[in-house]
Amino acid sequence: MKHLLGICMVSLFYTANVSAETLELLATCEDRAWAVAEYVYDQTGDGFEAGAAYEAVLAKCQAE
Amino acid sequence: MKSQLLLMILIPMVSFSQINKGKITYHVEMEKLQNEIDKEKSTMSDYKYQFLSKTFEASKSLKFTLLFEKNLSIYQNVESLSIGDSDTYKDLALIMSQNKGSYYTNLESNEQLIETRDGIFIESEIQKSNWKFTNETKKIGKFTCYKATLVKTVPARDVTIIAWYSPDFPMSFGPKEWSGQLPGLILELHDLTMSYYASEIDLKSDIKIKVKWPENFSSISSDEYKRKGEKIFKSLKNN
Repeated sequence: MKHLLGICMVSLFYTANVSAETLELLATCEDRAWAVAEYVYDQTGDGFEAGAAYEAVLAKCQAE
Repeated sequence: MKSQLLLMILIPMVSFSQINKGKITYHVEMEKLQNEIDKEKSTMSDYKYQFLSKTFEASKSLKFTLLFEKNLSIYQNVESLSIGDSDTYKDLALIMSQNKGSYYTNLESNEQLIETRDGIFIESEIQKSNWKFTNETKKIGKFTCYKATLVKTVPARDVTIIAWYSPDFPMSFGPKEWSGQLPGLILELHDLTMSYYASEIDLKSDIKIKVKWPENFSSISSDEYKRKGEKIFKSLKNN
């Protein structure tokens, strides 16, 4: 019983840890995507292209 | 001797004025922006610097063509217009260059139509921009080109756009929305983010070119497009 409880605890710990890492990565990717999108907007004044840049950077960052 | 000299000058002019179709290929680069971010490197994150540098480098593999026939032209990326299925840096270079898709110009009706990569049609008159014409010239290939400049304001700053156009050609076509704005063909252009250089000029009389104006589309105005773009940017900013 103790052994089973131990496995559950370890599983829970890793799941929580992975979720935190995933969330952190998502936040980082969004920050990175925004930084590039803002740069595109500043250089071009084009919101559509800034939006497209955001999507492109976000997709690449999340795939890495 | 004098008449021979006059003929030597006039014959090319007459032959260029008879040209009514052709294909210009532009190769591009974003060196201006690379130089700027090199100077600002210490103030930006490493990720952003690396990402932008790779994007500017990837821009060198982009190519655009301008096809013209009588009063009509179409300007577009040589490759497929879709975004997302190839190299991200190349996609981003295309996005940052503001090459939105296919640009149609009709000099006779003074109309322009942009078919964006997302399938939006933006219809407008050919813009009347406040170009400053100079007497500065240079040769691009065998063509004499004149320099014209235009100041455009973007959120970050005022940018001086430089175009080198050749009045040797009677038609005033060029890249993107700049078609129809200058009294000659644009062979070199430095606009907001990208520099365009005409690398192939095909004016052979037997070249097969057919520019077809799109039909059955619903369009929006450039003001409406700008307003929608502002909304998109604001929603990104607020998230």
